[in-house]
Amino acid sequence: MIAPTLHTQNLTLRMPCLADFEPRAEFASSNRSIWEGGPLDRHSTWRIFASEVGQWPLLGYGPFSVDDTATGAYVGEVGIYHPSDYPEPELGWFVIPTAEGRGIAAEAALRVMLWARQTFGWDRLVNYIDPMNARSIALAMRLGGVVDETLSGQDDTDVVIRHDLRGLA
Amino acid sequence: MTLPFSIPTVMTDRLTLRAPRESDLDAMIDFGTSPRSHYVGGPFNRLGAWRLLMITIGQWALRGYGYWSVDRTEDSVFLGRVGVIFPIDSPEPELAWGLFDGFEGHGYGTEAVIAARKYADTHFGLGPLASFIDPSNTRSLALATRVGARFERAFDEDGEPHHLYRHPKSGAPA
Repeated sequence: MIAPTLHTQNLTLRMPCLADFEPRAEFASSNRSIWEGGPLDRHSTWRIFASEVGQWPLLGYGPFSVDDTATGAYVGEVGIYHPSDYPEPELGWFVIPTAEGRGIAAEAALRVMLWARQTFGWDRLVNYIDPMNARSIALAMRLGGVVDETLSGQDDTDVVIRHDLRGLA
Repeated sequence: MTLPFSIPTVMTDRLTLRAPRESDLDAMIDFGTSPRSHYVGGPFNRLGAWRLLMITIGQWALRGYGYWSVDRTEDSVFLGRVGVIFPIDSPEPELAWGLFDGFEGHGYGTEAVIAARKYADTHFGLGPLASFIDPSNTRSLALATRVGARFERAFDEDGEPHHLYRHPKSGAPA
């Protein structure tokens, strides 16, 4: 499968396409991406982007590119990431700098959690977040997540935040 | 599992070029963690080898073409990869190939490359295609020459020397 198109009040979540690469690479090459393993050069960003897009047919879930529905502008990505070294599927997000501060990540992440619950019946999704990334940790808490020290992260230092999906429709 | 964007199956006399799938992973890890992956940027750890397979599938979704997995038709043994790859920082799409250990010397590479080239020409509108070959990779140089590609220029990529070979457009050996 490929990503379904999902809608929220302000956003359209859809299958990533080649045109998303440039704004994604711009984000990845900036200091904004330090919590996502960046800054990264274009080659590394391509490898990560292509491999994450490749999750869709193999796993049935993956990254959604997020557009501002009103303008059609690409504003970031929210999705479920599962490289082979992750203990379980991870809910992740980033928003490009010009679109920050508008609640985009929260709005899109809630939609993806609902979709995951409805599609797979999962009881939970986790975030793996660098302990210094206060902004993402705050967002994860705002979304109802709780820190779960019993769970392993991508690496030993990650804060693992667990989202209970069972209350979602 | 079925792939959403169509990855065509191409048959030759002895080979089947088909969509990559999850069960290719073990062979990809064997290849990707071995010195044989040197010419594609390896060797990789397990995660890197997994990424090679995922990148392949992602590139089909993003570009509409990519690497096929190549099976020997008679026994369905997965013996290598062939196809058109185009990482974002490459100068142009590349006809690329790689056989796993133990499958060289049977003409499989030649057979797969000619079929992939013809398919890329007639269905993807790509060609005349280039191949970028490390000049120390004598087997690949020989294969390129055998299928009618000709040396065009030398260039460096990430500090590594490459020779660009240009294929004939017809899909047939020149």
